[in-house]
Amino acid sequence: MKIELPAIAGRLFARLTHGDDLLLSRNGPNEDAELFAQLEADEPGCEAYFSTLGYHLRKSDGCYYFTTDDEPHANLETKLDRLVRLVRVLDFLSTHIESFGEGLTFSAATLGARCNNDPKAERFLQYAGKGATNAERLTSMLQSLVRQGYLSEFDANRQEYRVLSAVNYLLEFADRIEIQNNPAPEETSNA
Amino acid sequence: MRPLRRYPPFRSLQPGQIPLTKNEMHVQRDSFFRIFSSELRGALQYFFENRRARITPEIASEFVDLATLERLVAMGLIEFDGESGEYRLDDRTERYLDEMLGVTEAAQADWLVGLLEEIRRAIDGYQSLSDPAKGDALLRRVSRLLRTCKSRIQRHLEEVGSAVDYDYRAGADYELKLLKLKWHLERARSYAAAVTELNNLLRHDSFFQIHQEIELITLRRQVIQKCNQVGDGLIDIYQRIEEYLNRVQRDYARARKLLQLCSLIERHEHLTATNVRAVAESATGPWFHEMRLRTLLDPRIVDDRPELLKRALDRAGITGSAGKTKTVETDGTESEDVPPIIDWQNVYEAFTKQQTDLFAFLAKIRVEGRPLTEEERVDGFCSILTNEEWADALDADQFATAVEGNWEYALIKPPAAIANKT
Repeated sequence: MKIELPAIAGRLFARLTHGDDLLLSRNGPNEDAELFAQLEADEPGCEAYFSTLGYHLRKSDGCYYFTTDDEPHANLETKLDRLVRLVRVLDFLSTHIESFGEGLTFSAATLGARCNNDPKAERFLQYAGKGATNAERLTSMLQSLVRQGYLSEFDANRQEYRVLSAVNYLLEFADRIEIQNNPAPEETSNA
Repeated sequence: MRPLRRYPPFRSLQPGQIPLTKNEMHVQRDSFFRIFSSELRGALQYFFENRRARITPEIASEFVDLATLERLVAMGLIEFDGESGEYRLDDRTERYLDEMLGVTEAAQADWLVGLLEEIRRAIDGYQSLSDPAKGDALLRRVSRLLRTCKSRIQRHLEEVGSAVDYDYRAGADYELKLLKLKWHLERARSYAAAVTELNNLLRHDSFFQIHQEIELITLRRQVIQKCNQVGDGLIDIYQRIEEYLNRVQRDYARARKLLQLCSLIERHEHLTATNVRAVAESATGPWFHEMRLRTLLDPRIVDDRPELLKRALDRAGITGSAGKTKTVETDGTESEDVPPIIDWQNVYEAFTKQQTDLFAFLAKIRVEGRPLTEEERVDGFCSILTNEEWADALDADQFATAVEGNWEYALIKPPAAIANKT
């Protein structure tokens, strides 16, 4: 079996296996969108090429990422912990940003204003962000999401962020989780 | 002068097994006795080192002058037993010196072996005697020895335990720690053997079955009980020592690996003429974050490895699955949490999508896992009814009333139900 080296193999490998940002989004910043288009055009070739190297190129809705087989158990646990934390962040953003999803642009200031005087949101920010005030914690949390490739800075001066397609990866993960609650009396969704 | 028994600190060990500790002990002992004045120092040390031997006034007068001896007695450091005609260290003084010189000395079980020998000698002597008056003195001696056993046997166990803890924590030399812990294990075993021997002697020796004096019977029973307690305590100490040994061995192995790694780095630096510290500071190269190859997880792991996800959710505290519950005691005061902010818009939307009336519907609402309080329920009822946007849809004039508890309220059906009815 002959496997050809895809033209974008080097760039793609460097982009998806280094640093914190391990997702290539369709609407990503800089050269990501272009790389995404090239990858989409030669997806089977790249997939076959990297699978021989032990890397599986996976596609979620509007994003690509790599996985490997035979991950050490400790790595699996660490990655799962990180994913669960991200799902909680996703839940927080979905609650406080109307129609949160791929392509949406939102302002950190507006989000911060919504969180003020909301004890639940403030508690969450203490868990998820770093800093002395809620605004600082929110900024640190959003910057962390930017570093991980789930958001991009749309307008740095106005603290506006854009949701990238990579967030669909988290949604796909979250959709698969079923949390079994203890049987409780019939209840209706609350405020 | 009669030769006195001088107990070597590590009598039952192989020769030369722990020379360092032995030397240390001598140095420690000599320097420790400097806390006493120079006239008393020599005499006290002599009494301490020969504390298991009989020191009659004749023997004492040979190594300490009478005035010093009387001074020591007057200060309560030495006591004179008129009955047996012996000088010995005061019990509290002996215990203090034992504890101060403790760690190495504490684990010795020789005193018990010595006492056992003395008890046996006294029993043999008693059995070979023809004069009953002399027999009484030997019986008293056996009782005194048993009392000594009773008072020291538990204390010695505690000393062994504290010596084990001390030797595990003190110092940074892993090999020395291992050596000391192994030594404590041996010592604890020899102490256990001595205790078992004492127990067997008390239970099975014909002497204790023939002599039924109240004092002897009581002492025998108490010492047997103590032996049982000490046996149980020794099992705990064995387990503790084994645990400490395992920990020290693990830490030692880790330290050895680190040392090995250090030497490898040094060798690498030497061979390649690089400075790893400088490389680390510039943070480029295969060991560093930017160059480390990383991947993500396939979401299918949720289905393939549910046990991993369950553990992750448990760690994050967001699962409803069974787990260890912890009872938390509270002081009974109310929590001062800020009351939740209820979004009545959401409540109204949920209300419009079902069939029950508003007041009954509000009873089923839950906020932060609990039902609404009566006050919140009435607030919600009023908020929804008085909202201008929703008032038209509800048209409150047409509703019948109902009663629940102390409340009489309008039966307000959701707009969809009203539309169907009309």
